[in-house]
Amino acid sequence: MATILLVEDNEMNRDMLSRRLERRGHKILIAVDGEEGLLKTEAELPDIILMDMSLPKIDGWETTRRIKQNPKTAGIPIIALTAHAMKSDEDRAREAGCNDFDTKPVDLNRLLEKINRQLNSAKGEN
Amino acid sequence: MQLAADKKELFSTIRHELRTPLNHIIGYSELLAEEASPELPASFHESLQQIHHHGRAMLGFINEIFDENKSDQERESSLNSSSETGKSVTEIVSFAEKLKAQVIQLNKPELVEDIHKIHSAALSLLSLIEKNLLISLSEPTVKSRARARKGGPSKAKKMPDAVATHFLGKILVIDDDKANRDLLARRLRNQGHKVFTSGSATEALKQITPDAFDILLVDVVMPGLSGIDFLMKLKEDDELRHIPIILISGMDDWDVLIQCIEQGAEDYLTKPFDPVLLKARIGSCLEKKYLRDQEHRVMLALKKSQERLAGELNEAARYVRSLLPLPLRTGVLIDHHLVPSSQLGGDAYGYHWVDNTHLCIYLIDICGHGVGAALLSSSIVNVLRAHSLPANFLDPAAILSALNLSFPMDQHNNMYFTAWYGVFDSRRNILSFASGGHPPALLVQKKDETVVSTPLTTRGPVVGGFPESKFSNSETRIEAGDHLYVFSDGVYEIQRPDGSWCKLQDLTAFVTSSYLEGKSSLEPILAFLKKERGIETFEDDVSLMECRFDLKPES
Repeated sequence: MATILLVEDNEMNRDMLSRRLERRGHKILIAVDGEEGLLKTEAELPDIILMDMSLPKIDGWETTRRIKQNPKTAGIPIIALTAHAMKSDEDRAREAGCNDFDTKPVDLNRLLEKINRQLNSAKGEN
Repeated sequence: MQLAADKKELFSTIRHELRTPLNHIIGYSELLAEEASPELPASFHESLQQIHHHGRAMLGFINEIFDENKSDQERESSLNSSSETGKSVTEIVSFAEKLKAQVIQLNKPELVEDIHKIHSAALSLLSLIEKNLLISLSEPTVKSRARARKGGPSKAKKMPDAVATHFLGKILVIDDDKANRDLLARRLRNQGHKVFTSGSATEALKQITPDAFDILLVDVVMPGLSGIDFLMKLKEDDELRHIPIILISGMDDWDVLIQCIEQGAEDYLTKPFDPVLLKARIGSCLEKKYLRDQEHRVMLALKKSQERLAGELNEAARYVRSLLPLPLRTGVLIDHHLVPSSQLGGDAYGYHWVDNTHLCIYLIDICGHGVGAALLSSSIVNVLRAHSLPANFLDPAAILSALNLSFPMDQHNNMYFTAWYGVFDSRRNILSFASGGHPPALLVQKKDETVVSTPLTTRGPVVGGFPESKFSNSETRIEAGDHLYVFSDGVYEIQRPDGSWCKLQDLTAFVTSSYLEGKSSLEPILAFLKKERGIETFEDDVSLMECRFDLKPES
């Protein structure tokens, strides 16, 4: 089971996703904005990050860019979560350095699949 | 181009706004379904599934409508084809309410919070839909709202353009449930209304004055004074009964609602509210009230001016009456009666002793009645009374000629008149007379035990019609006991209830038959006229003079 950092400013989204992922046995870390996300990533080195893109202070794209620029954290896979279902959003997220992309509302099984895929490919790299 | 870009940006923003609560609805319904123990009743799981289903449907709908790559035409057709979807959110609200009640009953407090999250997400989605979906689809509004959003905190948000065109009012929401009350108040405020709330009908009754509110929104089921009690109380109050009341009730109170409408409620709304219906009901209710209020104001103004006019007319009528002579009791006995057809009539008459031996008797009838006719008849009578005509008042034809020249119709509002003028010489017992366009006077005499009536007329033209008109005199001898009747055509031109007309002959016959020596026939004649007419009012002015010559034998 993995340690997942959830960077999400909306309390209800945070509550839902964390509860559902915990039920599947994952350990969930929470960050409520981009700044906290950066700090927790560096301090806790989670296995994977779920990143909401519209965040206060530093947005998800910028946070992702900084995580990927930091050699210490660059290897942590990031899945972008956005309410925008547009192809352009996905492109933007990948440009910033996200490894995968999913839209809200979250289809949990689809997201779990993506999480597992990222975790496996991250393991493979190591 | 600018518009297209604005619209794209706006749609993307709206979509995001709407999807946030939807995500909560979908997410929590899934979460609850996962976490809930299988021992919970099937209906619980079914409700959750329904919420999830409606949430998904709504999401698809929003993606369709606010797809910025779609043309307006495509958008419109998806809007039309998915009319059901608007209902989805209200369905979610009602399922969430049902679930809440169920878990409280099952004593599962740990579930209440999550269900509450679904409920409030659905409510905020409702108000967002109202704010965005309905308003933003019209082209000019899209543009202005997109601009407003761009320019930071927008004033336009507070008062959406579409709202400005509908009726806004002061609304009092009466509901014992604070959540319902606040929800409804917030929605109505978003629509631009001024909203007040009250937690009980009894408390509300203290706040209501005739002008304080335009609409009262009242929950039917309340502790203490119920919505129906409240409705009945208000309708009993003459001061407050005009305030429209819309009752709010759950779906299953159908019979109660019918009862409410019968008791005078303006309309009803069922919970959960359909935002479109709410807006439409409130709008039409306000429109009706404003029209009624306007009508009421106009009526009040009319009534006021009517009262003022009526007051002036009364004063005029009093003056006209004051011009009528008192019954004459010196030498000749004269009694008279006037029934004006409206408040002011066009008939006028009089008599007076010109000198010791000559009594003049006159009656004029202006064509038409009403204020104008009364003014003219009054001035003519005053001229005759004051002898202010350049003519000999003992010469009837000369008087009519002088009146003809003094009151030409082209200088008197196109009014002409008919007249009968007579002079009784008490020394010679001769009555000389002249008439212009007027019905004959009737001389009723007893000759050899039979009563005969003689019409007295000189067949002159109407007075004031033509300056060249000529009038002539005629005379007759008066015997002791003779009666003379001078009247206007209104006395005999009477339409009977069956539609036929009473004629001069009918009057002549009655006057002849009712003759009693030394006694007045005025009352019987008036009774006859009323009987002929069938009702108390007449179409034309009715004026009648009766002169009884009670002559002493010449000594």
